[in-house]
Amino acid sequence: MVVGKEKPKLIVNGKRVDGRAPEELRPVRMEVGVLKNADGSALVEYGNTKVLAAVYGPREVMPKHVALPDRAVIRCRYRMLSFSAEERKSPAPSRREIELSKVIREALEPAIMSELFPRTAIDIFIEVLNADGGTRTAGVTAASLALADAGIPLRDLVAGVAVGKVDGVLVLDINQIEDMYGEADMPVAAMPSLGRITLLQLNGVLTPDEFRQALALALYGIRKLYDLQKEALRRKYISTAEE
Amino acid sequence: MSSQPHIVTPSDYLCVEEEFMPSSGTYVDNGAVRAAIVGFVVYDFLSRRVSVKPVKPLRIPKAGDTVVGIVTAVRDEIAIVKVLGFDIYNTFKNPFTGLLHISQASETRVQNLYEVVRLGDLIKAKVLNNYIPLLLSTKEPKFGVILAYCSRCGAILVKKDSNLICPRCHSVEARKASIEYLALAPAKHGRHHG
Repeated sequence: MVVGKEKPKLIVNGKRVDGRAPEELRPVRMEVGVLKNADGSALVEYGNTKVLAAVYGPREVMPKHVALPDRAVIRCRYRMLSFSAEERKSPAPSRREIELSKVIREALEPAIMSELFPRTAIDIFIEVLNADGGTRTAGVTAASLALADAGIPLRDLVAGVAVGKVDGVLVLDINQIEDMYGEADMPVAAMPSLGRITLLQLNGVLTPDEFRQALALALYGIRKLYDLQKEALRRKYISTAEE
Repeated sequence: MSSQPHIVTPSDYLCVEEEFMPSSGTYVDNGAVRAAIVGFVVYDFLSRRVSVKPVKPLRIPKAGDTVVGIVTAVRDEIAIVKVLGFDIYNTFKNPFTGLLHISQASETRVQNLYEVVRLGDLIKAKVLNNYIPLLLSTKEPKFGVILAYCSRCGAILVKKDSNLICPRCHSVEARKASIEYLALAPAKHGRHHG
């Protein structure tokens, strides 16, 4: 997309590189139950970012010694497909993918009522089909939809979005270019109905005041995504009930 | 109950704890009963309980369920069973491990478990607990072996009077055969999809 190393102008006449307003989300698409073999699945798109999540379980744990006597083990794997980035990504799990798997698992764990299923495993697979910034937050959003589709009891759905600072302006749902050349990137995931934040990272520099504004902006975006999640779930099951 | 079923998603507010007791598919957060799964709300005005009927129930055996499984190991007092599903026509995606103890094997006293089940038998049993490993019981007449092979020649055994007899080599084998032995018809609750 962008040739050369020079930083492009990220805000022109108050509009961003893709023509959005600073507090505008990319076009979002959510679809539930897209895979037949998985117990639950979901496809989520934030603009060009496209993420597929599949959930298996609760099922018996293999190997057995991993099982916990009082609750389910939650295993999460985040993966970027070879063709998801602009340059071919090696299919071997990178340091980044292993770390994001853990971060996403910890973002979902507070929502899952794992104590209902002792000695079982809930496996979550997140595959990034196309990466254009915000893949971890799209992954969290997709995974929580897939968990709900699998029928696993959840305290709430988890939705995530990243806020960035580009050319000194706080912007919602940053894409790849804004992430690359921006001053800060802050992914946030939350359970809006319960008012709990489950993921909060910050890469770059924000003043305390900017941080507060960025968090408010992220929660505003999460609320919108959360409503879309609920609508996607209802849409799926109202259509199956009519069959 | 309302005529139009009301679909809820996780965290949807249902009522306060004082109005209805939280039941399956719900949880309590700060005195408020909320939905935990996607489904239809059922307010039971008689027992004053609220529950959510799932649109896609989880397929996990719970206490009281009837399951079928294959015996994968037998010792003097305990047999390990691979629990395949609620019936053989509609199995789980992943099997669960079950245990059959000699004390739960039969109404009558048995010397050792080899009189009850053998390796490779298909059995029908009742689940006694709600966690893994599942504890199984074959105490009722409808429970026990529903398909067995001859330990000498491998032919399918047939039930004659109260014994299992091999039609090929005529050996007689001891089992706790179910009254449904070789009656492998689908159970009355029928097949579920997916």
